[in-house]
Amino acid sequence: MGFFDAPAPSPPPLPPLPPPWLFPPDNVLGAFVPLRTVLIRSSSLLVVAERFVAYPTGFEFTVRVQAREAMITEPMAADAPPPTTGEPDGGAFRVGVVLPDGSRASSQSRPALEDEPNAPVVSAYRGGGDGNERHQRCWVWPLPSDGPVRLVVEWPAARVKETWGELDGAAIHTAAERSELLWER
Amino acid sequence: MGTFFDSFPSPDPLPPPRPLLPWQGPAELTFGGFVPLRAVLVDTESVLVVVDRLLAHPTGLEFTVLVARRHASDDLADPLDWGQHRGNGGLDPPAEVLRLGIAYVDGRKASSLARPPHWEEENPKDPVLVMRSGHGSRGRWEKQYWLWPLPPEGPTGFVVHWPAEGVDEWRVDVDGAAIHAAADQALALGDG
Repeated sequence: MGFFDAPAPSPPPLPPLPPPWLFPPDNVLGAFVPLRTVLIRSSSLLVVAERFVAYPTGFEFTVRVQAREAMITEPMAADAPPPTTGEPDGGAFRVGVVLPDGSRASSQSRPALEDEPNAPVVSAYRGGGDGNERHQRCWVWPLPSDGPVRLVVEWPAARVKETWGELDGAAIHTAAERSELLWER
Repeated sequence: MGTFFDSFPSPDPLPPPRPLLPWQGPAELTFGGFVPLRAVLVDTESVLVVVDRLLAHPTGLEFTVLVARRHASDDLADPLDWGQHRGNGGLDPPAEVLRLGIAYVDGRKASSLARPPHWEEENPKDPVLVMRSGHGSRGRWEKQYWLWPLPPEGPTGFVVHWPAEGVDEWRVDVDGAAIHAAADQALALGDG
């Protein structure tokens, strides 16, 4: 037996799965929803919610911000942990939803990691961009019932005041039925 | 009062970013029309590969390739990342690399293995397929591609070959007319 011919190590155990209220499930292939909502269209800024994907446990979408004349110099900053105090964090991007049953959620809130929340959750969990474009992926839990979903964004650092839009909740709800289970947990 | 850092002049503002050339991605402030199509390229007991979320522009086609293992996985190796191997000097792609291609009805082809044109090349001779963004881990990957130019009307073939998964070259045709109809619904908001 050669020096380097040690027995192969056993694979490490899989890390625990994140709770369903924080991220889309990784054992389900979500269904694309042909939705797009223009939230702001001004002479200097375009803000759009798009790329909706529905799952049995919620839906994800992208908020895309594109500046026309002024360069965006501030990050959306949603990658940073939400402030523990719930206070506005210096102009960072914020997103919120009002579900058909009237329940509300904001990305400012820090959902619990262990105990299932008793209110909806919206989290901004992956973003990027360069130049004059920024995008932020958002996850809403749970899947809303069949009705209108109100969406609100605010980004003080980019002079985006609180702006509301409405989504076709029925389209999201229907699309979730087309999602595909990949493997049982 | 600071001294060292204050002694440097403030940098000039950055110039506006150069617009993308048509083969590099969609034009700014444009949004593709929804194409009601989905192509399952691979569906085995171990893995699923799907082309989904197609958005058609007059200048090209955005789509997402979803790769998903059919079991809980801690696999971190990205099957669509050929770039990290390509720089090694003409090596053939490893079997673990998922090969993706597009067959135009007029015989032109684009491939994920092809070296992209030089960044300043304005009119590449052949169609171009570029990965623009994506993410993934633990057996799940989502990659956003841009195909230039928009395929002509007629059957458009998505071609896959993935030796490590035992997937021989396989082609799934989608309806080019549906892609063109969606491109007519693209939004250009730049003039608003």
